[in-house]
Amino acid sequence: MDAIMSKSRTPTGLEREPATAPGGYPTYRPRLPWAWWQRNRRYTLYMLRELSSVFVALWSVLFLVQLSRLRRGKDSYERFVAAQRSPGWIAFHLITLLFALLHAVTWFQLTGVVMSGMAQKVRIGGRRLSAQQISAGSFAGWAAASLGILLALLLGGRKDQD
Amino acid sequence: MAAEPTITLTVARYRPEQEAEPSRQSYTIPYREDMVVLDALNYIKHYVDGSLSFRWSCRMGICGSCGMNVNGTPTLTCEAFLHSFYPREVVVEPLPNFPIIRDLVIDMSDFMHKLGAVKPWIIREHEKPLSEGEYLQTEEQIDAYHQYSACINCMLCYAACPVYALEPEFLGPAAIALARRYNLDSRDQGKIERLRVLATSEGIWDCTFVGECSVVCPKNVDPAKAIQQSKLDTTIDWYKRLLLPWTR
Repeated sequence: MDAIMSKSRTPTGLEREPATAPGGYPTYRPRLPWAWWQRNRRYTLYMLRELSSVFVALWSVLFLVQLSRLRRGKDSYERFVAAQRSPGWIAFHLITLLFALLHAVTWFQLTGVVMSGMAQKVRIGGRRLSAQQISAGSFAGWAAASLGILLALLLGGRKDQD
Repeated sequence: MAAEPTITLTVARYRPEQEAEPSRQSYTIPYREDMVVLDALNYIKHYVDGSLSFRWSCRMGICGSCGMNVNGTPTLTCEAFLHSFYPREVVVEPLPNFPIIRDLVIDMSDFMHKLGAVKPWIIREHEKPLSEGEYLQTEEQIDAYHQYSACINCMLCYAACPVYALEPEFLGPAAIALARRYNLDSRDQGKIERLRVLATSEGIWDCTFVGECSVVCPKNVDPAKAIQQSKLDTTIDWYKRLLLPWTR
C-alpha cells in the first residue's frame, strides 16, 4: 500500500497503527500499557526477577569499593566497615540479600525447566531427568556450596583467632 | 417458575468505518453450564447482534482460530467454559499485541511472515529415492521434538509475550518453538539455514524468559523452554567452533 498514514495518538494514548491489513483494511494497534506487569502475579514476579539484577550489580560495585579500601590499608578499610553499620546500608544489604535469593531460587527453578528437555543430554543411567530432579540437584549443590563456604569462614576465623 | 439464568459478556468492538478506537458492548444472554465462550459469541451473532465479527472454525481446540483475550488472559474461546466465570461477567477482547482489523479479528500477517521465515518443514540436502523406503525414527528420536510439534499456530503465546509487544520485530515464541521442532528432527538437515533467522538479536536473543507464552499455550508446547534450549545449543555450538574448529 502506498497510502501510509502518519502515526498519531488517540485521546487515550493509544497509537494508531498506520499499516494496513492485507486487502488494504485499516488496522488499530493498541499500545502496551505502562503497568502491563501488574496484570498478573507471574508478570510481576518476572519484573522483580529482572530488578534483582540491579541490586546484585550495585552490591558488586560496593564489593569492588570494599576491595579497593582493603588495598589502601587498615584505617581506610575499617572506616568503610564502620560506615556499613549505618541503618541505611543495613537496609540496602537486606534488600539486596532478598533479591539475590529471589534471583538464585528462580534461576535454579528455571534451570530444571530448560535442562529437562535437552533430549539426550541430561541423563543418568540412560534415564532422562525431570525438571524437578534437575532443580532439586541444583538446590542441593547450592546448599552444599553455601555450607562449605560457611564452614571455611567459621573454621578459618577460629584459626585466625588462635 | 424460576427465571432463566443469564450471563453478561462484554465484548470489544472496533468498527473502523464508525469509530476511531475500540469500544465495548455488553450482551446479556441465557446461560447454560455446557456453553463455552465461543458458543456465547455465536449465540450473540445469531440471535442478538449479527454485526459482531470473530474468527472460529473447529470448536475443539485443534484449528487455533478462536484465540481471544478472555478476562485478560489469552485463551482459546472454544475451550473456555462459561461455568468457570459464572455468575461474573466475561470480558472478551481481541488477542493483544496484534493490529485489530475489526471487533475480535486481529491481523495475523506478521505471524504468518515469521512462521515462514523459520522454514517449518523438513529440509533435506539430498532426498533419498522412494525405493529406499521411509525415513524411519526411533521412539527416542521422536521424543526429542514431539512436544514442540503440537503447536496449532493459535498465537496465544504472542498475545502473552510482553517482549513481542514492546519489540514487534521479535521472531516470537511459536515460530522459534517450531524451528526447534524441525532442528531436533533426525530427518531434517536444515539447522544452519534456520540459525540465520534464529540466532539473531530479533530471534532467540530477544527473549528475556518471561515464560508467559508457556503458561497460556493450550497444547503444552512450552515455547519458553524451546527458546532457552536454543540459546544453550547455539552457545555450545559457538564455543565448539571456537575451541574445536577441526570437529566441524
